[in-house]
Amino acid sequence: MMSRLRSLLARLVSPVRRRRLERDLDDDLAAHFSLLVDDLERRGLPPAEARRQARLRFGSLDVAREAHRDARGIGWIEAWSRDARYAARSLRARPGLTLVAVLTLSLGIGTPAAVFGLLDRFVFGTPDVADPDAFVNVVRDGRYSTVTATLAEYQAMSRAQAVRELAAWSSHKFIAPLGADDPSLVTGLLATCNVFRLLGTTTPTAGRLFTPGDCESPAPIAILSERAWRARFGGDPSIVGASLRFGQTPVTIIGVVDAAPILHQWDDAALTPELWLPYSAYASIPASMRSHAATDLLAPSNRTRWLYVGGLLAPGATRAAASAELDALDLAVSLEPDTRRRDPVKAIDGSRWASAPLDMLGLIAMALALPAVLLLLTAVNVAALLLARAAGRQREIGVRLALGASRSSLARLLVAENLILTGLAAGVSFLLVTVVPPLLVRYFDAADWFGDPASLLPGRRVVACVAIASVLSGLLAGLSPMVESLKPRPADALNERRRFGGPRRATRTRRVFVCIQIAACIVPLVTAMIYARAVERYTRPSAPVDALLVAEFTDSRRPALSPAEIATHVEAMAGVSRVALTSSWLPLVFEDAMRVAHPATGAEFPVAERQVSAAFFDTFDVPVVAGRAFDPADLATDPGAEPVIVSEALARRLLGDVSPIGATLQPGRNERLERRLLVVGVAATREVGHAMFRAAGTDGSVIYRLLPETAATGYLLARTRGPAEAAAPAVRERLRALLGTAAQVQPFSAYLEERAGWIRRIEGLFAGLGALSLVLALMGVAGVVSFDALQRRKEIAVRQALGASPGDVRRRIVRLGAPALVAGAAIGLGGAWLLARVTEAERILPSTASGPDPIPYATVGVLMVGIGLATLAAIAYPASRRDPLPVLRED
Amino acid sequence: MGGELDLLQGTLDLMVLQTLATMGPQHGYGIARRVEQVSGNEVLLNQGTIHASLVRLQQQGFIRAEWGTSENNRRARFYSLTRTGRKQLERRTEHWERLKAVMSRVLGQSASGPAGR
Repeated sequence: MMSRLRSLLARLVSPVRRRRLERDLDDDLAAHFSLLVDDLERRGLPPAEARRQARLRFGSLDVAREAHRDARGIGWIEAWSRDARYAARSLRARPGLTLVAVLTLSLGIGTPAAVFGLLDRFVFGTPDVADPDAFVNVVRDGRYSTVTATLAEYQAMSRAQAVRELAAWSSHKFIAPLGADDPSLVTGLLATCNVFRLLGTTTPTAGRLFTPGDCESPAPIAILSERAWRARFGGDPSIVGASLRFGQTPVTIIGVVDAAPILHQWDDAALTPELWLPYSAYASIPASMRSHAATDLLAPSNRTRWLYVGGLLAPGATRAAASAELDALDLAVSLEPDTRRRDPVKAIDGSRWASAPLDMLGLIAMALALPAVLLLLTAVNVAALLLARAAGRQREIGVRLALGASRSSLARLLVAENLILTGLAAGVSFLLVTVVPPLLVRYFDAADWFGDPASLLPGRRVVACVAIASVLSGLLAGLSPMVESLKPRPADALNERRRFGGPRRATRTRRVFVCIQIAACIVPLVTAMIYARAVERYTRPSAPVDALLVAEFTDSRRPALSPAEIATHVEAMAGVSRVALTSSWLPLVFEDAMRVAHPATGAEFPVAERQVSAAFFDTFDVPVVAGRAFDPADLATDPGAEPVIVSEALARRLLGDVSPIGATLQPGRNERLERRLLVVGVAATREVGHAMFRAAGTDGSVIYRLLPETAATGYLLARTRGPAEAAAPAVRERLRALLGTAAQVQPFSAYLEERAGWIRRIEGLFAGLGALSLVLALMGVAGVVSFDALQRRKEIAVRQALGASPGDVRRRIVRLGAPALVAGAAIGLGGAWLLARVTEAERILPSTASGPDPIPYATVGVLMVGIGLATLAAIAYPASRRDPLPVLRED
Repeated sequence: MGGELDLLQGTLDLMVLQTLATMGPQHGYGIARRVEQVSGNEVLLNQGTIHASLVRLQQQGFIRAEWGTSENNRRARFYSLTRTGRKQLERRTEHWERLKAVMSRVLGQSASGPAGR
């Protein structure tokens, strides 16, 4: 046993000691040879004859060395290390080609890996708490977005032994201004008083943290986040103890805390509330600010779930044990009489993956689609490079085969070369994966989604991703050149009578390469252009918005004046022509959505929904083209039907060419609307912004409802007589006078710009990818076509000798490349169209009222075919001018 | 008959070990010569075979090599048996004896079988 182990170790290290072992053997062989010669001389042979005889008896030294090598090492390790050394030398001999191949492959491997680096954090990242291994999120129905518990359910679950520090926080975010001077809004969250222990914060930045008693008194106290404290109060320590108004609620600040962000909903960014309030403070929050105005969420009889729950596993407890115990405790207080309809509770690790694996898989697939195309593109590019090189080596390979090398040993040599290239590329990609994700997080300003960019180091999943991408691109880039290289029969290769791989087959491979390259670079280019045009459309809607001013209003304003009254006051100003009110969903910036049933089929579908005051259509310049605009009398409650106005697009979608005036629509079953909707007017179709439901309003379908007079929050829209910016200070002053506090007043275009920011950044990303793939594709196409022309130089020369004119030759070369070019363009445009449909359906792309925009497809298609043809012509021209005689004499 | 014997797998290593046990430290050429002599030139060893066997035994720790000077004043490696090598020799000799006995019984039975009828 020991001797076997010893032998294995010795064999393993033998490649390292190769030089010494070989030298020793050579010395030994030399000594033996001289001993043999001496022996023979002693038997009476003359020295020269003795040496001759010794040589004959001794046999081949190479055979002896080979036997020694086989005996001392492990055959395949030796063979591979020999091949690797040879491959490294042959790659060093062509540094330019090697560098281009490595850099190209690195881009192909690094891009999907970098994107995955971000996804890894987003999908699998757990909350940034002090003890992430013990952290559990208690969810119902497996998801965060389903609110977990009522107060009674939470209190029952807190008795669990498997979980300590079970804490809860409100699903509703309380949003209001803080203090009288700053009109910007802060987000407040109600939480149980042990929430900071759950998050791992034990000491406050200033003041104190919650004590258990704080959650028993209704006295409204609050803890400020450190970020808000520095941003809004300049880090003033005297804020502790100060009494401020949070909306209408006076709160006393008891401390400042720097706590970890918490995940609120799986499809939302992590949340760092600016204000933490004990849950008992709910009693002092005015009804208008509550999510369920009519319900007392603190009452034991309350059945509305409003709390998210998290905790830390007790030492030794597992998530499965915690799930079972929590579910049993929850079942005991369940208010759902039918246990089959009850959603069980479950303790998960707090990652989005644990919450919604299917959605996350979809996200991963979508995010990796384009980088995968880039990987394919780079692999094809490198394959084309290596193919050209393989053609140049057919003589060398032929010689080796003729000398008796087996095809498998040659294949091993080529695989070794490919492994070195891919390995180097994987190294560079690993650098990219370390550097690029933090840069992207900074570029997209997305620390809320991905965490601190400085801590985004590649984990084991990312390393695995680099490995998989490397193997894939190594296979893609190396397989076809290897197969082509090993094809020649020695005699053919040495005679150069046959083109390697056979002309027809090799040409087909190359045509497929051109096709893939063109297709793969068209996709990001078209997508970038679609995004660019979306930004254009988005920031400059068809109706002019330059003279629109927006003021936010909330119920913190003096209740003596209703929003309608404020609107009347603002409209009376000299610089203002018209004023309207909208709900807290500003049209074009973010749209609410509702479901309506189709009158003929009954199928429900989502449409954008805007709640506006009667003056909206004049103010926003949306003409009412049939029927009438809203009328103040419409507010009078008609128990049967609620008057609505629909956009032309929705009218067409619902009733075709029949006039919709007087028609009634059935709201969706879950819409909490008791009345049917009576269509009283049709408004012109305008652009629709990012809507809340997927697929809502992609075709400009909008339903307008009249904003109730009791609405306490929303926006005031003012059409100004001059540019909006000029009128802003006066309106701001007027509102301050009317409300007694500062109000946020901005031109509407500023909101649009802010919303367009993220589209611009996505556009930048696609433009970068597009430019990169354009360069790669052009390099690849030029390489492939010029290689093709070189391979066909004999055919061309024969044609020229038989009387073909330069024009004929040029046409021949262009005809060779053009079909692949056109086919690639067609495939690429199809792919881009599909991607655009997906991004539109997933609401990544702002929708258009006018359907797909043909211009990006036409522009990029024509551009690519044009550039491709120009490349072909540039290669064809010198080829057609070449003297055929030297080529014909080559043999 | 005629020609040299094909060696069974493992027999050369045993011959080398036995040669070193009998003659003490010896260089590769000397070991080969001795095996050829003892076998009455039935076994002829080329350089590849003997060196492969030596490196194998060395890696298993059964023999060790030291540089020395040969009888004609040349630098050569001298191989000697290690303690494990000596134990290994005993074990393999015993194994070989048993094999030999079994083989001769089997072959003896077959000779007095059908041939004797």
